[in-house]
Amino acid sequence: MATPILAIRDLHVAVDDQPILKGVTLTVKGGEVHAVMGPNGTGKTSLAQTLMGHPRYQVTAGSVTLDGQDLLAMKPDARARAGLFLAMQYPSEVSGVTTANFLRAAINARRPETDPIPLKQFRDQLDEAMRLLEMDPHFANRYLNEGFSGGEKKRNEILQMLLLRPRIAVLDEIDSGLDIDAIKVVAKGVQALMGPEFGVLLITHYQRILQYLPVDHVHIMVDGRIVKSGDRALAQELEAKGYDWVRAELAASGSGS
Amino acid sequence: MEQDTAVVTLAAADAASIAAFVAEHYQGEPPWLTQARHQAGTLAATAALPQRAKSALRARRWEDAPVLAEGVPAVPAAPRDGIRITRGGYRSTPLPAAWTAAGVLCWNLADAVRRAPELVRQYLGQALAAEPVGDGAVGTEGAKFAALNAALWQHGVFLYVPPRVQLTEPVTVEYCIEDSAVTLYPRTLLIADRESQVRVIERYVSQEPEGAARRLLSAVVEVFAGEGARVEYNAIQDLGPSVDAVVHRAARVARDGQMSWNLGEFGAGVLAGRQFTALEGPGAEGRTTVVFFGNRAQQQEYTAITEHAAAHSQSDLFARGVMNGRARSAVTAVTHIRRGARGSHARQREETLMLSPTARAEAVPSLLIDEHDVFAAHAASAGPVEESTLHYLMSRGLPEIEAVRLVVHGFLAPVIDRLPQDAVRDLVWERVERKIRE
Repeated sequence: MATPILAIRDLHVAVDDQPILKGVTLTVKGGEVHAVMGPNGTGKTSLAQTLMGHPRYQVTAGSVTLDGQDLLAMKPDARARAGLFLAMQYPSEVSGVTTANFLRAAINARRPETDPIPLKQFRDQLDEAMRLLEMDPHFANRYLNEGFSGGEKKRNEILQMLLLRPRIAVLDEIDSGLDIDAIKVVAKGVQALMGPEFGVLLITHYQRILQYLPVDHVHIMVDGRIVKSGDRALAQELEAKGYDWVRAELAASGSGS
Repeated sequence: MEQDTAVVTLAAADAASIAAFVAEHYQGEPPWLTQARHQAGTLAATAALPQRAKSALRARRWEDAPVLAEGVPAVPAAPRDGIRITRGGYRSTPLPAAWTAAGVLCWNLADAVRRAPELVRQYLGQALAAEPVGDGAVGTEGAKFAALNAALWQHGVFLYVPPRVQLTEPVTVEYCIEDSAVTLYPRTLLIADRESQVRVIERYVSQEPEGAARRLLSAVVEVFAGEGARVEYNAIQDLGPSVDAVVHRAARVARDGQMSWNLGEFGAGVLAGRQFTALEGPGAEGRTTVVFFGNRAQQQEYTAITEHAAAHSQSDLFARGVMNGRARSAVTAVTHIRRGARGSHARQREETLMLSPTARAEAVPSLLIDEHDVFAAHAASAGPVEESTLHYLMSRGLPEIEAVRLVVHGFLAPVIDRLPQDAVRDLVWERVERKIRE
């Protein structure tokens, strides 16, 4: 399969008629890991939710394509089947639905109705992914996210990603609330999929996770725009100087108005 | 089949017209029953319907309901298994020989009046009559329909299980409103003598001719669970949209007796269900499980009343339902622990999930407690399916209908898992699946 390309062009998004994203342009290709960093409330999660088609986010201008297909014209389930995955910052709890049953239904939604995944094959894949993520096997029989700790929910998102094998994964604050060991496990999950057919858009507030992932592009988002892009060094500079430095630079150049 | 011709509506049915109808159509019955019918007819004509805007039984909705229908219906086709009851009669496959030998009586109630008059006379109407009126009770809503049934019942199951007899196989009953029928007034009398055990599975269905006019089911089920007896009652209601249904169920439970109500409510245009359980002896137990699912313009009202009248009595009600389309539901549970019912234990849980913004659901729990040394708890909720939950499931590639199906499955699984009969659980899941896709 060809290398995936997620292309975001001049994306404007509003929530309840309030503009949140004010022209975001970004391209993520297979084999690449992009990190979008920025202070809280600058639109990072809005970007992630918009890509996945959450009904609360209205696109007012711009385009998003995956391999040339218009993502914005697709419902969330069609986007997922086209190869997009979003690890959510706050995954929903779904009572009465086990993680295993949900995952099997999600895999089967990608297959012809007459050819569901054989149970044994599914179980093997699930077991293998759970071993990789150092998860208790009982986990799969618990109701989806119900009563899970923050860390368990994040691991469960990565578990789903491993089984659904997306072409582009958006990881929204996958590292927040995790200790270093848990971050390493999450990074191991992402690494397991890395290759020319898999690209990552990592949304984070912190620099820590960047140590464990092959991040090659760093973008800084402030007030609904990407104001600075660079390589890993940019993240280190940001860590050293803080977001105030970006704001000050913006003010000086006049582009922040 | 001959079509019913003349129809009298509820608004037009006065005491005289009901009396004339009874005199014409219920001949040859013992005088005590004829008298009881006439008394009930007068009550039915004079009792008022609730005026409350939220009640599915409120007056203006029922004025046009057909109550007296002429016509000579055909005798029902024989059922494959168990009992079939229609406007035209009662058909049953033969009772197992072992049951007959053990003294089990299972007849059409209309025949039981002649074959076991003392038993019928002793019990008929006595469970409904146990429901307190006033004095902390919730009122007499539906009394009009209970009286209509008492005046007009035709066929129904009479089941008597002698002491210590345990029926391993369930008694299955199908009530069918055939396309030629406008009304159906079935009546069931179930007497489980001391330490006996019995299970009943009822199904309520209708044939729906195209453009069917409004029709009425008014049913009464009375249960008497003797000392140490165990009664398990299951019912799946699957009536078509032309049928408005009013169903009264009442049970009296003696010392250490156990009554279990298990209901799946899926059909009918308007459904008003009322259930009363009197825990009359120490250690008596009442357990209720209700699954309901309404869509389109269906209206479902369900009221469960439990009286704890003896020490160490226990009740546990769990109702969960789904409302879609423009459907409306109101679930009311009233548990009354009377003075002297020490050590009693009562739980209520009523939850409704709304799948559409035009669906409405109400849950009204209430506990009335006149005794100190008791445990009582209730939980009630009615809320929409969360947009973020559906989005989450869809974001993994599940089409919206599949996402809804998963949420509904997850929501209903705990209540359906509580149904004691495998066969009933399967039927209920099948109905749920169908309703999701309707």
